[in-house]
Amino acid sequence: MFINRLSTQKKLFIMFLIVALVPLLTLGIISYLQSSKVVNGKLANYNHFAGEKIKTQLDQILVDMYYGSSAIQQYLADSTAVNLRHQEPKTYSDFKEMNNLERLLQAHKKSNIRGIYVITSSGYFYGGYDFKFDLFKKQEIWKRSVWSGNPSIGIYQPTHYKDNNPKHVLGLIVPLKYSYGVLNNGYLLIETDVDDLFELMKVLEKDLHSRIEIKNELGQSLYHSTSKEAARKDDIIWKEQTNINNWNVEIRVPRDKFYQSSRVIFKIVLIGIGISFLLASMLSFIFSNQFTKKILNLKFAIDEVSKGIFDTKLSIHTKDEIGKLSFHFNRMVDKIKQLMEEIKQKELMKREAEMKAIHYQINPHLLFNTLNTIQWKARLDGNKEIGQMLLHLSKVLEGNLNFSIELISIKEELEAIEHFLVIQRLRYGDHFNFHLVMDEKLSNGLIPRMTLQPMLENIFFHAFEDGEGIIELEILESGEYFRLSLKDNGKGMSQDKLNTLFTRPEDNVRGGIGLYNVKQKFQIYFGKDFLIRADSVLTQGTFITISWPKRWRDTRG
Amino acid sequence: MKKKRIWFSLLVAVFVLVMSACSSNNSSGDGKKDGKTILRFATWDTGDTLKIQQDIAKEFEKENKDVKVQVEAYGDGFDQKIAASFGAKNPPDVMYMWDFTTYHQSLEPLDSYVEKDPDIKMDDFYEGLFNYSKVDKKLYGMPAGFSTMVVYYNKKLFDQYNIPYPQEGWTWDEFLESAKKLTDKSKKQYGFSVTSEPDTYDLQSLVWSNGGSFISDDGKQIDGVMNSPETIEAIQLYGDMVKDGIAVLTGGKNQQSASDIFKSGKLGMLISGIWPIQGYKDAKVDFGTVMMPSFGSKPVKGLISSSSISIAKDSKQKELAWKFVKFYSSEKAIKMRTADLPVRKSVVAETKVMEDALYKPFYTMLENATNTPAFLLNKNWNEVNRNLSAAINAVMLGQNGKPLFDKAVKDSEKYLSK
Repeated sequence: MFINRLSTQKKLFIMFLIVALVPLLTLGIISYLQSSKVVNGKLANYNHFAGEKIKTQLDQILVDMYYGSSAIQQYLADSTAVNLRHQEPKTYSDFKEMNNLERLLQAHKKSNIRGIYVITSSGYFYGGYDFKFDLFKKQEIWKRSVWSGNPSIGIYQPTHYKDNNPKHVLGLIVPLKYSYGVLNNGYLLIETDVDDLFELMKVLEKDLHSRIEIKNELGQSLYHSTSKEAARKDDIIWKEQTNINNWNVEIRVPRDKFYQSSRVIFKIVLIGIGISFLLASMLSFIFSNQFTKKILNLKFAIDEVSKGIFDTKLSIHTKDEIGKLSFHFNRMVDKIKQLMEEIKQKELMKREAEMKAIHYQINPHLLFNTLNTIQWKARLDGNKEIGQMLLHLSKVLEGNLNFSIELISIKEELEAIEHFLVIQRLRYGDHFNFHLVMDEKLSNGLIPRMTLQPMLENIFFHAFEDGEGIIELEILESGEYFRLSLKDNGKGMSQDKLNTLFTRPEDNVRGGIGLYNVKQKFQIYFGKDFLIRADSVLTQGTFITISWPKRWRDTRG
Repeated sequence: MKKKRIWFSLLVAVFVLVMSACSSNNSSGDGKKDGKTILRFATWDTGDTLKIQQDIAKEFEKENKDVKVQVEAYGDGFDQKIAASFGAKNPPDVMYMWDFTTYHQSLEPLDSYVEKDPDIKMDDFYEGLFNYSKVDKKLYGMPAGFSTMVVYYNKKLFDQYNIPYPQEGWTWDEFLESAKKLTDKSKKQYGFSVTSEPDTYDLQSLVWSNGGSFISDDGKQIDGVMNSPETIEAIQLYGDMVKDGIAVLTGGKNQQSASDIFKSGKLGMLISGIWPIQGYKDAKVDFGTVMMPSFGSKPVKGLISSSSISIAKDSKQKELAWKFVKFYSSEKAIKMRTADLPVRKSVVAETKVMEDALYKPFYTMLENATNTPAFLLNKNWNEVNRNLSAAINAVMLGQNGKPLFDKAVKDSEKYLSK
């Protein structure tokens, strides 16, 4: 698997990142989806509400205007109420009539109605002083109504007031048709200030980037937002229709503008995730790096040790598992180093011994041939005793001169000392006693070659005077070890002598090398895993014990 | 543990980031905006004069950092809007006011505020101004600015016809003589302008100066007052000038305004308040002002057009409103009101406005403004006024005044009987 090929650091890094990113992304996506849903929903509601509000306002204005116009027309049609003459008012009653009409018009002037005027065919008008009829005649709506003879309604910019001209008015002109009277062929004009409505639409256009269009029932545009961008098919559109006149109010928001808010949210979430991602990467890198660096250090240390560099030491900073591991590693390296040192020492000793052996090697053939010749000579001369002695000596020497150091069975070793003892018996006669205590089954146990003979030799040369004494050899098992004890009742030795018994003698001092050799042999085979000790009491005797690990001759081969 | 805390705070940070992006804190409290108390102030002014009101409001805000003055410019719709807001019990805290007879029941009497606030220095105001803002001897408004009516004359035209400039203490005879000389119909040039459908209020100074009146001083009688020879004679004076062709009718429907004709140099004299003076200066008309002429030996009477400022009875912050009213009547604010005349003697003395020949006649007329206007004397004056207005309008067109005024009196008597 791919993941298995990655380094631990990368694995850890990836793991931490996943642990951080999964909840992060989930949270980010959820909060984005939720909040953009809320925002878009609200925006849509707001747009819908705005469209409805424009529609309602338009409806209200139109209702007011139509209602006002019909109420005024009803009043004007009542011949008993209106006695206007075919001229400007001149008399007291004219002025009173005018007054009444003006009051009627005033009464219909709701707060946002800019003006209500009754314009006679002569151009004289009722409804206030700040109206400039000359200028109004230039308005498109007036021309349209005069030309068609029908009521006209429209949104336009008034310029015909002496002051306080609103920016936009919704105007309604109704031609008056009466059978008689001054008002026949006159016009009723109602204009409503729609600046508030336009202000509302401006706010909408600005706030929502929406484009508003108001069309009359014939589909002619009464108002549309000025915009450089063309309407597009994917624009989001809300439509409202006024109850009066069936005017259409259309609010159109470009798709990208409508989703602008949710895009902003998206960006913020993205930035948030980005920042967190960076932080997460940094932290997981630092952490995994620190963690794996320790492991890597350990690995490098192991590599070095495996190359044989035992001076490697790990510095320990923490008490965690890696710290403990490093500690144990250091201890292990120390131990190995020590063991290696020992092995080296052993090898050195072995080589030295072999070298020394070679050094002492006299050509054995020469020696044996010479001994043989002497033996034959003795036999020919009829001296059986010398012949016997030489036979046993050659046997002893045979063992002694076999310099290949090896373990031999206890039985073989005992045979070797048997020859030695025969020689000694020929030499001293039966003045000494040798007792061997050993279980027969131990005869296959292993012991370094030529270890007993030097000890016996030592007894004969140093302990016994004139070969008199008792030698007791006991070999037995003791747990995992063989134990050999050699006891004599000779003259014993001083403590000083005892202390130097197993040490390497000065080169020029002859003799005394035997016991040192014995110890060396054991050391070569068993390292430190053996015990050799000697006790002695002057005039009483010496007691030597040796313990060494149990090994057996392979009797199968 | 440490690691976990880092991730947790990270998530929290992201969460907070996202959430804060979604919410916005729009809090709108009642009567408060940006932690400031809102004081509503309604005015009928528009254009440059509105600008002056707004500047005064800003000055007030500077001195009261926790207040935002919301200037509501009602313009032409002032009466409708103020009446509607009173009816809805949601009026502006402070407003311009002149028609105290109609609205005083919705206004807060100011006497107690004046009494406990000696800083206001009532002695510093021209006494006559308070007549206009008192109903039943209770004070409902503090004067903010005023004007009286004077005669504006075109010096260039006077020079052209070798007519001496009018002087203080002149008479209507001298006025008529000058007007006759200044008229040249071939040039469409006239000596005087008469408003074709005048506001009866403005004509009261003329009537008083001739010893007449529209209503008896106790406000209970019009017969023998409104149709008295003195009243009719005064009004007829204007109508006759039109009939004789030495005055032009202005200001009616499809008619030019007197100001426009005066600016174009085709009008010798016109009667007006302080309001157009800056416009004439800007139009570089070489003009002078003089007090109204007298009817022979009879004393000239002045009429005040005043702007007062009042507190609504339903205002929820009357103390703050009073603070604003006080500021509005303070020397500092009055000095800023350059569109009408200072109401404080101390400001007049300091700015030396009286020493300016163009402004002096307004104060001369103010000193003579001792009569009480008709609308303050009877609460049904508006109904009476409609008939009076019809009569006067007809007179202005050259008709005989006597029967018209008799008819107006007859038609109006019913409004006076209790």
